[in-house]
Amino acid sequence: MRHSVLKRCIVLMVLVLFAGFSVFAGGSKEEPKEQGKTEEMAKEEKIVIEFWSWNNEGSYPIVHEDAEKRFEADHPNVDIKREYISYTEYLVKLKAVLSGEEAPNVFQIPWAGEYTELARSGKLLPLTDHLKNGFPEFFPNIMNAISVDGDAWAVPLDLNTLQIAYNKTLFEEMGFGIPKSNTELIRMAQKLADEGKFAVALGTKDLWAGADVFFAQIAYTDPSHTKMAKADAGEISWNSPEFLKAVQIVDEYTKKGVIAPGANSMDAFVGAKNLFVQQQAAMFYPVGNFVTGGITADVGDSFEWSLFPWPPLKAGDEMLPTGGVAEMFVVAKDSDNQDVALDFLRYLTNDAGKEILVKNDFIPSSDFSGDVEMTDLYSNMLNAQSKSQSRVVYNTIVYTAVMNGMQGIYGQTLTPREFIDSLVEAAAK
Amino acid sequence: MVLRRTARIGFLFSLPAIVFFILFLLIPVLSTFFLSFTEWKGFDLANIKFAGVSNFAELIEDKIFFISLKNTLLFVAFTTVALNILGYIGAAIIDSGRRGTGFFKNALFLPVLLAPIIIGIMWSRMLDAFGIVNQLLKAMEIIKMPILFLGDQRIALYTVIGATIWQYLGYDMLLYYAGLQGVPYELVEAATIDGASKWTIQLKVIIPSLSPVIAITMLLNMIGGFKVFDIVYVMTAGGPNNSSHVFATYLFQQAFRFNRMGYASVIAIVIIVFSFLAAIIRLKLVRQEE
Amino acid sequence: MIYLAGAVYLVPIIWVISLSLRSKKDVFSTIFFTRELHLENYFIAWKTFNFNLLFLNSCIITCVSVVIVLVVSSMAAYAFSRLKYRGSEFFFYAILLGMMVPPAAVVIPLFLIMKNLGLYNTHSALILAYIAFGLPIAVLIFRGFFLSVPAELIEAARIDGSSEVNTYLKIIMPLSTAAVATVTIFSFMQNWNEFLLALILLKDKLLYTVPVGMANLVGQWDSPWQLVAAGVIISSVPIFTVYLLIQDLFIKGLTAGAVKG
Repeated sequence: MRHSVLKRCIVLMVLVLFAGFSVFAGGSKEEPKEQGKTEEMAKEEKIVIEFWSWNNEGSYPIVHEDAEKRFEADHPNVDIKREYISYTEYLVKLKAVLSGEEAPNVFQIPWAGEYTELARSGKLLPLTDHLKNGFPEFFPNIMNAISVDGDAWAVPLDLNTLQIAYNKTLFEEMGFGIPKSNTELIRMAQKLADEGKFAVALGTKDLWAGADVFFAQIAYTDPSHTKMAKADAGEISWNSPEFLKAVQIVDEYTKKGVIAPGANSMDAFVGAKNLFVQQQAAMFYPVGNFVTGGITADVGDSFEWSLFPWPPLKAGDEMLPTGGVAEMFVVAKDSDNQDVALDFLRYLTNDAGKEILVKNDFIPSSDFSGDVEMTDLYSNMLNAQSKSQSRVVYNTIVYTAVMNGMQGIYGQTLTPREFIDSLVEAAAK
Repeated sequence: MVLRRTARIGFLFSLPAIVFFILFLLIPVLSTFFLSFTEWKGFDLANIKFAGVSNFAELIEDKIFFISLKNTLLFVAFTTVALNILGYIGAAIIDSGRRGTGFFKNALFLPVLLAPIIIGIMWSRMLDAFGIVNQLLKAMEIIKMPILFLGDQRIALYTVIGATIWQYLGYDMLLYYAGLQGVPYELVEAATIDGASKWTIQLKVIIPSLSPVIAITMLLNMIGGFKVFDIVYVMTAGGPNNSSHVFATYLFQQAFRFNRMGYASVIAIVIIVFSFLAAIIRLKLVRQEE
Repeated sequence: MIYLAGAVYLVPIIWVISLSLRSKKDVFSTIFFTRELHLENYFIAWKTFNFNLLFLNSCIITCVSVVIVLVVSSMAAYAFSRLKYRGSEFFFYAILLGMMVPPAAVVIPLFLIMKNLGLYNTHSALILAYIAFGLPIAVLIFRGFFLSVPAELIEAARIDGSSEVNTYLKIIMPLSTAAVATVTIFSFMQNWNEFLLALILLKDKLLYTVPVGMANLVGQWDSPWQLVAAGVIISSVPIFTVYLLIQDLFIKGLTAGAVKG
């Protein structure tokens, strides 16, 4: 008896609470806009352009929204519908809609695997000719990155590089400079361990960050900077000394404690970032403009930090980061209003678009000559961009083998030789 | 006369269910079966290529598939056994009617109501290298270096199994508790009068009369185990280095990361077949008892 | 003592609650509770995740599918237990097989079917799918329950001239409130928390259910964990309330033969 009275009370309380929340907290800001739009749409035939991206944090939505506003101001009969879907679900959902021919008009696409396969599937609009019409001239190495079988299939919006963020304040305390060689980095790791600190925080749970360490070493072990693309295309074998040396370096880093333990159980931007922010690790990788904002927000005033690339083999060698296209968008072939969609992409990449990119610490994919104040960090990244090397493997099976194999290296369950063997095996499929 | 009428009405009564089953379960499963003989990227319908049994042949050679097989069997075995034993103990505790059992019952059932995704996120955060569990262990000086619950290939799977057991303990417990209500009190009374000890009563009287409950609980656990996806996906996504893949996560990876719907469909068939076998084995065992 | 055991078991959940009451910068540094309790996180989470809409959608989908499952499965179970006909055993086991189908395996074919029926991106698609996936266990429970209803009762009704539909409505169902409670809890649980099908079958943000809506905001770089935690608590309250309300009936339903399979 007593119990049921208690129960009724709880239920009543919950109902009241929920009612209160729904009235006071209300809905998100987007609701009224949608309602207004639906009414309008009923009145006139509006063209709807669906736009998908997974970068729903940081400043990317600001950039997208700015383009949307400018575009809709000039084209009152068009309604841009932006959808953000978190990355892990993005690909699943995309495949479903592609198979059902419900693809969005414009959508973001990752490079490795998906891009080449989609390009070859005939589901994308080839853009080679369109890019010559009304779009800025994208950097040549970027144009290379987005070509598949000789045609361009995507519009690159911005670029990024991956570097190591380091705790400047801590470095000064420890008397460190920027490491100029592998051995120097290893020595630094040992000194840090003596002080109970980790060296480089790395989160490889979602696989990709771990692979990038490998690519970063290839930038040094292969001075020609062509071998990776060749191996990817099947022209040479992955069983080449350059790749073996690269993975051996990472293996040694792992053994000597350069890489903080637990890499495989941390995701890149939560666990690992926090090691850095909480000053338990002196460095953090990979850092590019997609996360610099987040780091700045979290670090605040507690310490000063900046960026440098992985150190080269020998002191005195040039330091080279890896990088490439950040956001790139494709147009679905069997969608309507393709010219409108392309026009929207022009607005994203024109001068006004570039200006808003730079204002938000992004690096446009074409020359920007405007006048914007640059932070030190931004100049650093811009500088790195001009020297960046590739971090892309288009063959999905090989790329996955790289990612999984690297987890094996960090977990010390795979030897470098076994890693290379797994790549060769994957390439054969 | 009456029989035929009831038979016809029976058919009509069960028709809606059958229609649902055919439309939204049978046809998709048949499609999956059909797809397992094809090669399909999953996003262009025009390009489904017939591939004969090549997918099956590849499956037999697939090292990662066998890892997922081993892991799924381990998962099913550990969760089923642990959930049943612990569930029974929990049920016995609630049944004793002591103070606090009502709270205890609700407390243990609460995780069952939560989405597996949530449970996965919860435990992942707690078991981080610098999450609360490691913090406490370090503070109590049990360990010096953090234990990599989800990052160490040797224990990742067991960590996920542990979280699953935590989630579903209340479920088995309630099933057993309900079963205990159905145990005829006279039997227990008779045994007590006969001077049997508490243990003997448990073993010889209560548990045997619970055998239908045990059978169905184990069956539900096993079927759930073969299907498991959400929680593994959220906690490890099959990693590190493919060490914690179970059938469903491997299927997902093949279908949506590698764009190999045909191959993934084979794995789907394997899941269905295994669950089916488990159900049949259980049926046979029950028949034997009777 | 037992209170303690229960409380200890719930430590992870208490931890999530504590997470939901922290400020953004404390999310990773505090162990349990900080001095300040940021209750406003709940307001912010409600607004950010847009729970008004999510709850509305989840409610509609879950309630409709549960109600239909109750009707369809109890009818079928009655047929399989008391109105047997040639092939009824076969159909029963066939439907039971449905339990073994992993949603991940049939997601794409299901999507294509919905597309062909013109139901893609509607609540109906999800409702229909949930019904299909919820039927097996519901039928199992109801059938077990009905088998324990004394046959004489039904015979008496028949002799009295009651039609089968009448027997079903006026006699069997009123007796089965416990089984109804059990099936309601199971189906509610399954559908409220379902994620994969909701993700694939719904395209429009305005139609999202709670799990999908929340997953969407747990982005790649910078999830506001304290808000996610608050969202988790918020989304769990309805289902826990439903459970509290009918738990006695629920256990009765499990007891009275529903578990006997």
